[in-house]
Amino acid sequence: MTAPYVELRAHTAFSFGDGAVAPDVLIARAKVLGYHAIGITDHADLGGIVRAKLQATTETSIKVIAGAELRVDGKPLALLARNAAGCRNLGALITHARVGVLPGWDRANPRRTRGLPHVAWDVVAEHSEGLHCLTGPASGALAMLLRARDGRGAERWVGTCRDVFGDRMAIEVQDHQTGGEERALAGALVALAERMGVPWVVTNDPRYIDDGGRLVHDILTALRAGMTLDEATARGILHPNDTWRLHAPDEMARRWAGCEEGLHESVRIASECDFELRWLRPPLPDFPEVFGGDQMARLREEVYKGARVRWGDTLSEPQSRQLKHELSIIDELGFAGFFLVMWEAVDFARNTLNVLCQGRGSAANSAVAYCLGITAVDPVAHNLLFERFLSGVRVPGVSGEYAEAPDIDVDIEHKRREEVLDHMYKKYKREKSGMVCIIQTYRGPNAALDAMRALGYPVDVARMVSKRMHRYDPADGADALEDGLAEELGLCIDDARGKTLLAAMRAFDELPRMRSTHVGGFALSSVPIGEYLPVEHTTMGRTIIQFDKDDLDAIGVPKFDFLGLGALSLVRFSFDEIKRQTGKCLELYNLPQDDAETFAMIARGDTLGTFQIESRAQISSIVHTKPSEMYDIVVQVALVRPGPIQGKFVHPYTRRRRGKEAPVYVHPSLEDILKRTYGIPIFQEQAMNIAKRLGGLPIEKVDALRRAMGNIRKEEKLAAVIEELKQAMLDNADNTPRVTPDVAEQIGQDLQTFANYGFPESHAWSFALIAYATAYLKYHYAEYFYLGLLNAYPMGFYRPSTLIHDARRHGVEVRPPCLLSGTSQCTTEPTDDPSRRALRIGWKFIRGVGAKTIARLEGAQELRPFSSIADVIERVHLDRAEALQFARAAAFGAWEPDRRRAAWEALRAVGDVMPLARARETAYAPRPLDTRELIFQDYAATGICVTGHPMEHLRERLRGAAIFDSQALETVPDGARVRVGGLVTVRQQPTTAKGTIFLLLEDEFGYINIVVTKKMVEHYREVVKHEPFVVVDGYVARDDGTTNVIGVMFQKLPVSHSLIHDVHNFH
Amino acid sequence: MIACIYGVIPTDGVSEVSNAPDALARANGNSLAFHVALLDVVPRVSTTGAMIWADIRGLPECATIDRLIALLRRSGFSHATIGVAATPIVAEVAARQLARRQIPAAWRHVVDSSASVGVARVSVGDERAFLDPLLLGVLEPDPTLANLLDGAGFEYCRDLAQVSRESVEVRFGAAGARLWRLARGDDDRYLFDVIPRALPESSMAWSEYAIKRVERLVFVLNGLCGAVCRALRDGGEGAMAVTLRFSLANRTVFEHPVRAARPTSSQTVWMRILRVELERLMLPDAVVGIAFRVDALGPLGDKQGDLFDRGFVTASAAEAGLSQVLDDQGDIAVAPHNTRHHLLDRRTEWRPLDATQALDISPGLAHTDPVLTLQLLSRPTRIAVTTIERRGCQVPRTYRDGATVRTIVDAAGPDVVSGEQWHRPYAREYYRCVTTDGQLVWLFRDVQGHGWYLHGWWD
Repeated sequence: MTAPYVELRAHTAFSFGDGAVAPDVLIARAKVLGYHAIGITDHADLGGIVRAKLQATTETSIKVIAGAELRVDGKPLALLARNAAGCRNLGALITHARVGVLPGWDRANPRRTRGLPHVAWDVVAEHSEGLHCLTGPASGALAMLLRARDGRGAERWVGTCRDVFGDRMAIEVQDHQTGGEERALAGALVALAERMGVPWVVTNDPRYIDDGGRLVHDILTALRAGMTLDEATARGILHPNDTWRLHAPDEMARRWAGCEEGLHESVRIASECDFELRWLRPPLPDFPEVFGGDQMARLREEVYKGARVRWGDTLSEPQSRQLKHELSIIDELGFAGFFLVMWEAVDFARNTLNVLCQGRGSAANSAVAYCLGITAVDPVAHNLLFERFLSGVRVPGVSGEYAEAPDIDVDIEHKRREEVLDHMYKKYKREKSGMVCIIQTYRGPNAALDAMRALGYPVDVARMVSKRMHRYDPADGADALEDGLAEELGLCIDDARGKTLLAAMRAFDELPRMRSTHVGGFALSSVPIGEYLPVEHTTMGRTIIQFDKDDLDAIGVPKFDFLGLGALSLVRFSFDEIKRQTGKCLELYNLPQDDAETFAMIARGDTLGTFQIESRAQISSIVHTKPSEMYDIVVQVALVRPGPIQGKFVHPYTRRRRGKEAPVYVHPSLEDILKRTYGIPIFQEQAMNIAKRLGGLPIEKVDALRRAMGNIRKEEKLAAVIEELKQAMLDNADNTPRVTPDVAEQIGQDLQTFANYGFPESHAWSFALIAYATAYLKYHYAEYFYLGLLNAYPMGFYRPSTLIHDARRHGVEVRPPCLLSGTSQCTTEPTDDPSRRALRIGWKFIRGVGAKTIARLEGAQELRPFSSIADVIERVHLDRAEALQFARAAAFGAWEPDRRRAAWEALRAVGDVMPLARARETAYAPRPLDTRELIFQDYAATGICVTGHPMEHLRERLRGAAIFDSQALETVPDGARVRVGGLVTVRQQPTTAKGTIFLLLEDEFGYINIVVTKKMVEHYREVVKHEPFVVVDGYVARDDGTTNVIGVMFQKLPVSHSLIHDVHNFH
Repeated sequence: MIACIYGVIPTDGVSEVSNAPDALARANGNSLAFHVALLDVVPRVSTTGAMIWADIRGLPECATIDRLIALLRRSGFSHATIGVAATPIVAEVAARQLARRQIPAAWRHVVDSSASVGVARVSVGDERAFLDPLLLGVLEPDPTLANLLDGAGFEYCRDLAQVSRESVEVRFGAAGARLWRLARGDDDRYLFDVIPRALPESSMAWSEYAIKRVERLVFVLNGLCGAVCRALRDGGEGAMAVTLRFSLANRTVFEHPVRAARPTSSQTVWMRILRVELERLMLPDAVVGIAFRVDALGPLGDKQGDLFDRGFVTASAAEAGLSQVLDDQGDIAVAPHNTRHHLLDRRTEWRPLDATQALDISPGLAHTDPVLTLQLLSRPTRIAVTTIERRGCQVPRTYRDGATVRTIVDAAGPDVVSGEQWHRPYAREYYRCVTTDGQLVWLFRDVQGHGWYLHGWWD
C-alpha cells in the first residue's frame, strides 16, 4: 500500500551545518518508517544524492527524488528534479548559486562568497524546465509576504511563479507545532492556494532522524553562530522542539487529519518526479574538436609513433600483438579520447613545462600507455597483464551497464603539479573541467572538539581530549572516554554535560563534515560540467565537483588523476643541478638498470633518503633479501606494507629468497605464475592469472575477482567470488593434475588473505623505477641527491637533520646557509677537490623565517647581491627575531664568521632606524661558541647541523659508562647484553605491531634500531615517547645483517642544553 | 636597605600580588598572624610574585633582620631565605640565589652562615659586582628578549653591564635598556605603598562621673566635633563618615559609625546628624569617655542629593554615591536580562550591575502593545486535567483549580517546546485554553514528568 505521505524536503548532512543525518542512513530510516519515496533538498548541494540513490537502489528499494533548497533573491525556495532535464537544470542552478557565471572564474582572484550560495529569479526561470517548485519554508519569499500581511504581493508572487513553472509548482505548508503564528501562516498559505487555484503540499523539512541527530543539529547551529549551546538557547536560535525530524507517514497523516489534500499532493508530486544517476553523467570532451580528426586514428598514430621511440623501428611480434589487442579493446569501449587526454597532459608536462611525470597504478600494464609515454614500465618485456588495467568488460551499475573507465594515475613533481592542473583548466576550459572532491566525515578529534566547544568546556580541556582521540572514530572515542580515558584526563562524564558529550560524539559517527579537494582527480566534459555535476570553488581558486571519487564511479564519470610525488621533484632537482655543474644530461629512464654498485649499496641497507625503500622496515627487509636486480626492488616495494606483514607473507618470502626454505606450490600450474615471487602471491596480476589458468574463468569473472579484491570492505562479495573460483578450479578439466578440494581450499584461503594487500605488479614496477633512480643518484651523485632531497622537502621518512648527518657520512661537505653565495634553495659549491662539490643549505631551512621574508630576500638578491649584514637588513627589512635567526644559522658568515658578533651587528642594523643619527658600531667581543654549542645552535636555527652530531660531546662520558655507539655495537655478539645511547630520530608505532614501538637512535657513526615491547612501553612511557636522548639497556638480536637491540631498561640521557629537534612519529 | 624574603609564598605561578595572602595561607595556614607579626617587625611590607619585601630603611638593620629570622622560624618558614641590599633587584637575586645555593664562590662572604635562616647581605656599592658573575637569567628577562640576548652572546650580567646603554637600546629596545640597568644593580622599582596619613580624631575621657543624659553628651561632642571640623577645613576636605566611640562605665566600648550624605566640614551639619543619632542610640551603660574619629574623607563642593534625581545631582556625585552603596552592600543593583529562551519562565535573569551600568538606565525599553497581557505564575501550578484525543494529542477538557473544576471550551495547541538536554532537559506541550467563564488560561503537559500545569492566564 502506498504511504499517505511523501517527505519531499529532507535535509542531510550535505546541508553542511543544517542537517545531521548521512544520506544513506536517512534512506534506511525512511524505509523503516514506511516511505516509498523521499525527496532530498540540501542547501545548494547535490553531494548526498548519489549516496542516497545507491542506498535506495542496493538496500532499500525506495524512490529518491533529487532536489535542492536554493536562496533565490535572498529567500529559500525548493526545487525538485522531475526528469533528466530537470536534473541538469538543478545542477546548473546549484553551480550558478555557488560560483556564478562559469567563464568568470579566475584562480588568481578567487571569489570569497563560499557558504552564501544564491541565485536570481531570472536564472531560475531560465532553468525551470523539468523542475518542480515548492515555495519554501516560513522564511521563504511567499511566507514572508503573508507574514507581512501583504496579500496582494503574495498573490503576485504566486502568479509569477506559476508563469514560470505552470502546474509544476505547489505552495509549501509546514507545521512544526511552534505556536499560533505558524498555524496562522499555514492557514493563510492554504487559503491563498485555494484562492489562486494552486496545489498546496505538506512538508516537514526534516534535518535529522533521532534524538542524537537533534543534538548534533543543535551543536552545529550553535557553532555556526559562534556560541555555546547555552548561549544559543538564550538567543533562541535553536529549533524550539524536535519536530524537525523525519516522521513516519502515518504520524504526518494523523497530524494533518482533516487536511489530507496537502498530503495527497506530496504523493502526487513524488509520483511525477524521477531520478537516475546516469542523468548526472556529462558527455566526455569532444576530442575530435580538441585533437582534430578521428580520435581513434589519432590515438593509433600517436601510439605507433611512441612505439618506435620506445622499441625501435621494428616491433617484435609480441609487441605488435599486444598493441593491436589493446587498441581494439580501447576502440570497442570508446576510451580513445580518455587516452588522448592523458597523453596530451603528460606530453605537455614533459615537453613544454619540463616536468617529470610518470603513470603509476595498473595503467603501467598497458603497452598503449607505455608507448604514449604515460607510463615508464614496458609491460611486454615484463609480461604484465593488460586485463588488470582494462578488461573490456561492461559492468552493471546503478546508472546502467557501462564500461568502467580505466584508472590512470599520473605522478608529477609535487612542487609543479599546479602548473599541470592549470594547463588542464586552460586546455579544456575552466567551465568544462573540475576537480573531484573528498567528503570528510567526522573523526574522533573533531567530533570531540566541536561537541565540547558547543557544550561550553574550556578550550584547553577540549584540545586535551581531542588530542587523545586521534585513532578513534567518534563512537569509538566516546567508548574510550567511558572506558577510563575520561577519568585519566580528569573529565567528568557522569553529569548531564558529560553524558551529552558522549551522546553527541556517538551521533557524529560517520556523519559527513566538510568537503575538500581531492589530491589530483579531474573530471572533464564537452559541455559546462556544472550543468551536470554541481560545482563549487575552493579558497585556492580551484573548482571542485560536489561528488567524490566513489560517487563518480557510481555515476560512471571517468576521472583523470594528477598526483604530486616528492620523489620526482627530488630526481628533477638532482638532474638539473647535475646538468648545470657537470653538463651530464641524465634521464629517469635511461639510467643503467644493472648498476652493481647501486645494488650493493641497496643490499647494505644504505637507502636512507631513497624512494620507498628507506623506512626502517624496508631497510631491515632489504639487508635480508639483498636485492640484486630491478625485479627484487619491485617485490620489495610491494612486500613491505601493512597487508603482507599482517598476512604473514614477509618472512616466508625472505626465507625462500635466502634459500633457507624451498618454495612450495600446492599445484604444479602455480609454479609458472608464482615462481618469481618464490611461491608467494604478491601481485594482483598473479591472482588474476590463477583464476584464469586454474579456474579457467572467462575474463569477466577474472575482472570481477579483481574488483572484489580491490574493495576490501565488501568481504562477503569477495567470499562469494572466491567460492566461485574454488568451484571453477575443481570443475576445470584442463588442469593437470586435477585440482583437489584441499588444494582449492588452500588457494582460496591464500587469495582471501592476499586480497587485503594485493598490489598491482605494474604499480610496483613504476615505483621501483623511481626507487632505483634515487638509489643510483645517492651512490653516484651523493651531493646532488641530497640537494634534490632537501629542495623537495617536505617528503620522505626522515627529518633534514638525519639526512644531513647521512650526507656527511657519505663524504658530502655540508655548508650552512649563506646570504652572499646561497639562495633560498640548497645549492652546490666548488670545493678543494674538483671532483666533489659541497652542499650549501638553503635559506628556507632557517627556522622562524616566513615565506614572505624569503620572497623578499630572493627579490633583493636578484636585484643585486648583498654587500653586508646591514645591507641585508635594510633592503629586506628583517625584524629582530629574523635577523637573529639568520645570524644563528651562520647565514651572515660571509661578512662575519662569528655568529654572535654577526647577531650584534644585525641587531644594530635592525634598531638603527634614524638616518640622521646613525648608531655607532660598537666593538663587541663575545666569547666564541665551542663545538658543542655550535651543534645545539644549528639544531635550534635550522634543524640541520653542519658542524657535528649532538652525541659527539657526550661520547667520552658515555664511553666511561660503558655505553656503546652504533659502530661498536656491530662488534657485540648476538644475544649479548648491551647498553647503547643516542638521539631519537624516528619513533614508529605501527598498528600491526600491537603496541610495540620501534625507535631509531642516531649517533655520530650511524643508527641503532631499538625494539620496545608493549610491556616496556607501559613501564618507560615518558622516556620512550618523549625524551630526545635515551640510554637503552637490552639484548642484541642479529639476523643476517640486521641488528636490533631489544630494550629492557630505558633512561633519559641528560644533556647540558635542550635540543630543538623534530622526531618523526609514525603510527 | 631592603630585605627580600623568598620561600614563604609558594612559587607555583598562582601567587600573584592579589592573592599573595591566599598563598601564604596555603603555606602556613596562619597568614593573618604572620602578616600581623611581620608588620610588627617591619612597618612597610609588600608582596610581588613569590617575594615579600620589607623596607628596613631607617630601622636598625641587624636587629631587624634578627627579628625577621626569628619570625620566619617561629612561623615554620625555616627554609626561607632573605636577601638584603640597597636595591630591590640585588636583594631579590641574593635571596633567590641563596635559596638555590647558587651564590658564586667569590661572594660566599655575603652569606650569614651563623643565622638559622639563610641571609645574604650585599653591601652598598657592591651591587653591580655581586651581579656580574651571575647568568643573565637571574634577572628574569622576558623570553623574547632573553632569546635575542642569547643570540648575541650575552650570558652573564657583566656582559650586558659593560656595554653602553645606547648600544643596548638600539639593539634590544626599551626592554633591553631596562634589563641593562638591572644588570648594573640599578633598580628604581616602587615597592611600597605610601603610609596612609592619620585622619582627624578627637577624644575626651573623665573618671569622676559618668554621663547618662543626651544633652550632656551633645555638649561634649560639640567640642570634639568642633576640633575635628576645624582640622578638616584646614585641609580643605570634608568628612564622609565618622565613628563615635563611647567608653562606658561597665568598662566596655561601644562604637557607632555615622555617615553624612556628602562630605562636609561643617560643625553645624555634623552636630545635627549626631544629635539625631544620639537620640536613637540605646547605650547599655553610662558614658565615661568619647572619641570622635573621622573614617572617610571627601572633597568639598560636590553636591549630593537623591541618586535618582538626575537633574539635581552631579554625575560624579551620583556615581560615587552608588559606588559607595555597592561597596558597602555588594551586588544590590540588578537589572533584568531577557533572553529568547523557548520557555518563558527561563527568559528573565536578574544580573548584578556595576555602578556605571546602574546609572545608565536607558529609557527606550521595547515597546509592547498588548491587547491581552500574559500573567505568568511565579511557578507553574500542578493541576489535574481531563483530556480528549485530537490528532494524536491529548487536549485538555477540564482542569481543577483548587476546589473549582473549570471546563475548557476550546484549546489551541499543542505548541511544543523541548530542548536543553545537556543541562536541564525540558519537553512541554502548551495549550491556550478558553474556559467556560471566559478566562484564557495557559496550560502545559510536562512530557517527561507526565503532569499537567497551569502556567498563567491572559487578562
